Amino acid sequence: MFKTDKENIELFFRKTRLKIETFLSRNSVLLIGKIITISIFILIIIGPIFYLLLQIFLHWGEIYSKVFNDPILGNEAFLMMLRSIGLSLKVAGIVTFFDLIVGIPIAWVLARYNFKGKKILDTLVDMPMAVPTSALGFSIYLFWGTNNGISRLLNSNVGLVSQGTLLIILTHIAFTFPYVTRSIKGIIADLDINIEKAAKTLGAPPFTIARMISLPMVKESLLAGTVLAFTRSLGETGATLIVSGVYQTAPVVIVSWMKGLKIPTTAFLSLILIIISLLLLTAVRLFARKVGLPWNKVFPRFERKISSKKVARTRDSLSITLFFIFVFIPALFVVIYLFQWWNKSPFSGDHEAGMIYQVFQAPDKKIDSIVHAFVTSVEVALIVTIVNLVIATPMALLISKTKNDKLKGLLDTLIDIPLIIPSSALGFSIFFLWGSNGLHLLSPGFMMIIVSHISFTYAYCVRPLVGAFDAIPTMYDEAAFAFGSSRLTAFRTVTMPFLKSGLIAVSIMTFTRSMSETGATIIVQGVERTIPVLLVDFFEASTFPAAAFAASLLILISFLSLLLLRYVSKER
Amino acid sequence: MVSVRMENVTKKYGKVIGIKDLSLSINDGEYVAILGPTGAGKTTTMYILAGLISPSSGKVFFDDVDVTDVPAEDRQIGFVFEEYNLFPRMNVEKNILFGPIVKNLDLSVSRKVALELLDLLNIKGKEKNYPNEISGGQKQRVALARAIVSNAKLLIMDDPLRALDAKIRDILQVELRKLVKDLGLTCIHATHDTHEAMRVADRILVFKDGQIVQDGTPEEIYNNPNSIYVADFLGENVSFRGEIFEEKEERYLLTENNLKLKVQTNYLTGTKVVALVPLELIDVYPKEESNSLNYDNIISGKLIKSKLIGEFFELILEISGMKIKAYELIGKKNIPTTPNSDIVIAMDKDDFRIFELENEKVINNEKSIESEEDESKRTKKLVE
Amino acid sequence: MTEIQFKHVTKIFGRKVEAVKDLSFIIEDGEYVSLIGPSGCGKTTTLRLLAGTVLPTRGKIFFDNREVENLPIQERNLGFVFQHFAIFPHMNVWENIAYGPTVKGKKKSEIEELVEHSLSSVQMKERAESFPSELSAPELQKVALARVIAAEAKILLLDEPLGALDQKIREEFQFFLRDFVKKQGLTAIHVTHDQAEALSISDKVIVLNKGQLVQMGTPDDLIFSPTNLFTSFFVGESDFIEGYVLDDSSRFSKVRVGLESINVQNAGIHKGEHVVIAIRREFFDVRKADQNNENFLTGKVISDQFLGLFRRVKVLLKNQQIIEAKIHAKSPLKFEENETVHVIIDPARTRCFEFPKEGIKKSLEM
Repeated sequence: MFKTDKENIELFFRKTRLKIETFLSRNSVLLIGKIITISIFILIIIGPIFYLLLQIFLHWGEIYSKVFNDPILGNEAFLMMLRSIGLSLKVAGIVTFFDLIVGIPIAWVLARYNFKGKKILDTLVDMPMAVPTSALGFSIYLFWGTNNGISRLLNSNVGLVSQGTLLIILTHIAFTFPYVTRSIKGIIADLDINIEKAAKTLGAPPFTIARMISLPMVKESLLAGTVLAFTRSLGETGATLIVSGVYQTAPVVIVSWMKGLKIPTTAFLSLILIIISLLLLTAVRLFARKVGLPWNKVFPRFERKISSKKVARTRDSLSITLFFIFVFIPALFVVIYLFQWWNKSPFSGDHEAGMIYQVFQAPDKKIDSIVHAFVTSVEVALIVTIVNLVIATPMALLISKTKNDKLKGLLDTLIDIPLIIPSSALGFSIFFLWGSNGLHLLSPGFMMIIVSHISFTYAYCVRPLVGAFDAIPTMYDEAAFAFGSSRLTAFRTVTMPFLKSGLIAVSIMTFTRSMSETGATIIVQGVERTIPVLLVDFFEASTFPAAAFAASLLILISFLSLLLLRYVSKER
Repeated sequence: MVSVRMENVTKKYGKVIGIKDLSLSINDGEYVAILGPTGAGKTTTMYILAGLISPSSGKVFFDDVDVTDVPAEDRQIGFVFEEYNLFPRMNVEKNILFGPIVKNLDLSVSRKVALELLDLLNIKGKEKNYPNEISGGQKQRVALARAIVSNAKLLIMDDPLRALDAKIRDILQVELRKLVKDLGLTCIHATHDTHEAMRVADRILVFKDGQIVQDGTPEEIYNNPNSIYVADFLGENVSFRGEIFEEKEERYLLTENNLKLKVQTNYLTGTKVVALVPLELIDVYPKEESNSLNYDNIISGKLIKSKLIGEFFELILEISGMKIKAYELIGKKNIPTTPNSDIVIAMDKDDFRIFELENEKVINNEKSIESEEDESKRTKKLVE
Repeated sequence: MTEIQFKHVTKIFGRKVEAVKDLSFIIEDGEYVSLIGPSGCGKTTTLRLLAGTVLPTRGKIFFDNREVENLPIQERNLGFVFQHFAIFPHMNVWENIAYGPTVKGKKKSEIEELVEHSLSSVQMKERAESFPSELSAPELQKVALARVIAAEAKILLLDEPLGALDQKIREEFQFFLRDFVKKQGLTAIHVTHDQAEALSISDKVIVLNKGQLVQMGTPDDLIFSPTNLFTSFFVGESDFIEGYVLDDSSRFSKVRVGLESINVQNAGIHKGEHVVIAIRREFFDVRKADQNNENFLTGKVISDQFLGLFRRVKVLLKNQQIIEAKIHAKSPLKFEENETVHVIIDPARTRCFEFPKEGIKKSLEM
């Protein structure tokens, strides 16, 4: 009796659920779902940018007078824009060049060779991507630009590299080169090695094979990685604020103008940066397939020579050495610094210059603001992660499953926009749309931080999920359908279990990204503070040991996330 | 146009042995097939010949020159892989001309040779197509042309037809042999398919566990397999167990179920043996025809059922309590197909392949191949 | 058990890729039918049209006289068996088999019964708790079949179901599969690229080429009575001899081949027509030229190759065509290269077709 009851209840719930799912799987309902998905995407991601464009167009007169024809400054604002953009482009160009030189061989080494410590090196290479750029910039500044790091080894009293272009370049290389490495590492590992064997039997030495066979096969990803590295350098704010000194890059100018509430000029500069990034993205999308790695010509003797094991080994070890000297050690130097300055200055022995005093004992009670910022950061990151999973999963499904190639291509490109436009410009456009100049729904502060973070982490969510959906063979769906599953039932019972680890990985990524963002946050934060921004504040107040404390905290968090991510993806 | 020699070559992957103390020689212009199940060391042998992996010990000679330490790119070989391995980003023409380009050959000459080959292989007009736009058979033809145009003297093929449909495989077997012979190449072709080996090769080397177990022309190997392993690998057999005895200068096999079969053997009276007869050598006739037959052994039995499988009828028969299978080519007249009809089976004395039981345990062919399948996966991984 | 009918079904992908062209056929209740043809012939599309994952551009599909071409896959009551199994990896065998009845909203006790029954129908009872990763390929395919039974599907669609099995096991599994389908009373449609498999497993075989039905018939029909050039080319190995009809008055017509003439089966050919005679290679007989032979073509031996199962004798006919005869491995006649021989042709085993305008080679391009 009892058993039948239980059975009936189970049956009732199951049937109800199946009915609801069948209803929701109807084409008309699914269409509504698709429309909502795309609407959210437009509202949060694309909307701000178009609004910015629209406003500049509508208020061109005002902007023109502020930018080109200011009664006091004349066209000084415009000249400053040009200078800053010029600097940004120069830096990004040089940085990308070095990224390629170091990034490609490291990717090759990681993909192809087996050696002790490979996994560790693999994790270390990803580190600079996970570590918040402001912490990274601060650490690199400490290493190269103060008398604590390299100068100490060289017994010098002043920093080796002062704030400025060179330091910006060093910093940017550190966090952009992993984009190059990562973009091709996986693909190189997946390349069918037998194709290279075929080339070998046809008489091609290893270097020729890499140049003519292997690299062309990773061309698109390499190009995508290169553009990402370039745009990241172009748009980076957090670290650049710290290492630039008086040499202001465009995103830094945006931040400083925003602080001075020069809305029209900020809007104009943001737009220019966005346009440059979009042009790059479009160019890559359009021409990636057509761009060929040039010269089919072969220089047998030369190529044979540089294919020799000796040359290859030298190249590989050199790139790994460069990685350690220019990226890894400077990036983590802040931790050493923290211990040097734990409770006193290592130079004067002054207790009040030490971290303990500054953070815990000084009258301004920095620990309170750190705790507060930490809580804010975590809250923001958690909300952003959850919201993004909810809105990104349908979008990923839509992109993966749509049979309309044009829609697919369009969405696929649009998704990348937040990835490549400078975060400070993105932050500004969100401020512009949602704030008092636009919809007037939000004012700078907690909510606006959340909206801006959702916006730039969206792509980080959608991209891998599209990959995860694509990787599930369609036969599972078809099998489920054949047995009478509605689309939603099949999604719940068959697709979701495949996605589990993908979703976890995406969550960790999103969380980490949100925790470490600086550029957009500074623009939209109002009176709120997140840890990376607080770090910049501490830096600007010259309380380095306190900044080092915040930086180390951030590094610790991202390191743990990274480990977690590795663990999850290994499970898969 | 080169002779090949391997001397005492061993290859180990960690603890797994790929090939063991293997020696072989191939004459200039000879077409040799290496036949064996996956995991028998075929791929390892091919890779060592090509220089894609180096042996743990032993030497490789081309035209009596030691090439053991010469890398693949300098060996002047053509290699055809099971998975084609065309360069996906290059069209057919560029694929074919890759060898001449990287070897700095005279491109105008190579282009002419390539065109002739494309014509010969029936893929003219596909020069500008990309590999993903042509069929499997066409891909393998392109791979073949690519290997030859690079001035190969030795053509090495690692199960080149395995991935193709049966129909295309049939057609390509003929094309392959013709091309190799017309061009006078030395060719070594690994395959797991007996029929293919017999169809293409002048000589067959049967591999087992990284060693050569038999070496001979197709006819020699078919008629005189030197072990149960080889006989079983060549095809399906009916097996009779029993004892040899001699009577009036003729030798007979008295089977466990009391059949007395006239056989040809050197084994003496009292030897316990197993005798294998390939299914296609068992001739089946309606009972009525038994008087007009001229065979060494004629045994009556019953047809249980018959089934058409491609070009053969598969007949399931019962003779003196034993259930056996026989294949009859459908071209033959009067194949009995009515179930339960009385039939006779006819076998000549040289149809029996006889092996002494003590020497070799009767192995279950299926089982042994299966377990080797697993091992082959391991080796393939290791090779890579 | 369901009868299936295709009426003038056409499927066009994109603007102009005609995957299936005006396809009509009937599959009877409980029949086991295979679809064969070269890659790209439309066999997979036909299966997808049956499944409902692809909808026809034109034409109608009936299951038991019910029009289904616009029904989604969910409402067609099918079982789908794939080359790579599609066993849900996160569910154990029991849960996989229970999947169909569960999503159909069956009672728990009923589900249990169905699963038990299905498990025993494939003799997998003791593996109920196993996960797919622990099963061998044939076991996975058995689970896939059991899943179909549990879902009470009447039509079984098999997409290269033996493709992922080892050669040796494949033959064994063929018997199991056919036996299973017959015992369960399913109507089965089986797509394969392996014609030998199709011939040995099915009641009927549909040969497709370039999206069109070329011939539908029993395995015997296809081998012994091909109705067109493509079938005789695709099923087994045949040679094609060009000729002109001299006389069509009797059961066997006289056809001129080069300077000789032979009798062939008369199936609607007329005097003066340009024809092609199709003969399976195992139907040729090769004899020494000094004997009293009838109905033969003269030629010179190019090669006599030994192949174990049979011998292949290649002969260059007088009209410069090369034919290849498959001869019993033990045939006592041995031929020397360049020896003049007679290729004997049994008129009853020939098929004669109109000579294709575009030439034989072109018309058979796959």
